[in-house]
Amino acid sequence: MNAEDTEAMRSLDIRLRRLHAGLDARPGFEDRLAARVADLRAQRARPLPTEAVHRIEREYERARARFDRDAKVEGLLLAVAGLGGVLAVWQLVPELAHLLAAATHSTGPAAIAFGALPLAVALMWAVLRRFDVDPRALVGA
Amino acid sequence: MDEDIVDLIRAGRHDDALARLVPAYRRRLFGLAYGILRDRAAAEDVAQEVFVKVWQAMGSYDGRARLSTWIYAIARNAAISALRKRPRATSLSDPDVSAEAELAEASSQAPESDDPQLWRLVETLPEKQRQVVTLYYQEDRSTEEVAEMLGLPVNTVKTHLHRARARLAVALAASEEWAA
Repeated sequence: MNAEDTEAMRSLDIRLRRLHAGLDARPGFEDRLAARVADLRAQRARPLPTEAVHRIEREYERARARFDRDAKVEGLLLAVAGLGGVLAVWQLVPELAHLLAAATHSTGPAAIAFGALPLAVALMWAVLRRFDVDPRALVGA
Repeated sequence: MDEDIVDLIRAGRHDDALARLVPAYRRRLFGLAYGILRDRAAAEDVAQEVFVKVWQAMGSYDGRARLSTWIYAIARNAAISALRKRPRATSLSDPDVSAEAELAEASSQAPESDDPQLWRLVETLPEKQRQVVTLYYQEDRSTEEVAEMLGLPVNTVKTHLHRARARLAVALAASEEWAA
């Protein structure tokens, strides 16, 4: 690069600096920003209108009533199903006793217990989970 | 300066932090937004929006990134988002006509300048070169600071600056020869 080029570059730098020197926001930028922030702060601090509060309360009450109703229906269904199950088992008690005796005779009581225990635990687990109870919490795990 | 602002943010004194932040960053954010948008009113809107966003997000600033890096990232995103939302004034298929229309639009938004010839030439630079030139010459910034503002490597900024100056020098020499 010769001296003429260097001089041209220096001149270009000066012109570019001058060209961009005035590049700034309009006067009053801070005041406009302060007004914007104050407006946002006021919006945040403003309490909800009474009508909105009442609407939210009504929606909350409706949702609570719906959950209560659903829980009652589910409880009733479970009770009916449980009663039906007990009655069915009651009807089959002689046959079940006969089957149990035959199985015990052929395989031994330990094998029956070995098979029935996991089944009982799984059943219990499913019932507890259904009522949002964590079985691990019951045994302290 | 930034350390004092960070202390105020950590102390939960967000309004005080904003009061210190605005004079320190106003020109930088305006320049950054202007470099991307090439429109003074839009750049000012974006700068205001960035300060509001920063003020609202001060509670979540954890100090892992430098304050300036954090603010510049918010500013770049806001400016790019504003650019995307802006409707295109021209949808011309002829690139020459389109470029001329863009130049006319840019000239109409140029700040009061006593060097309109150079302003027009700057406007014809490729986008990144134009952004680098704007930020570098706006406040005599270092290439390191421009790199941080644009989220680019320093060497990339140096390359853009070198190419832009060379291009402007050639264009100026040609236009002066033509005028003579």
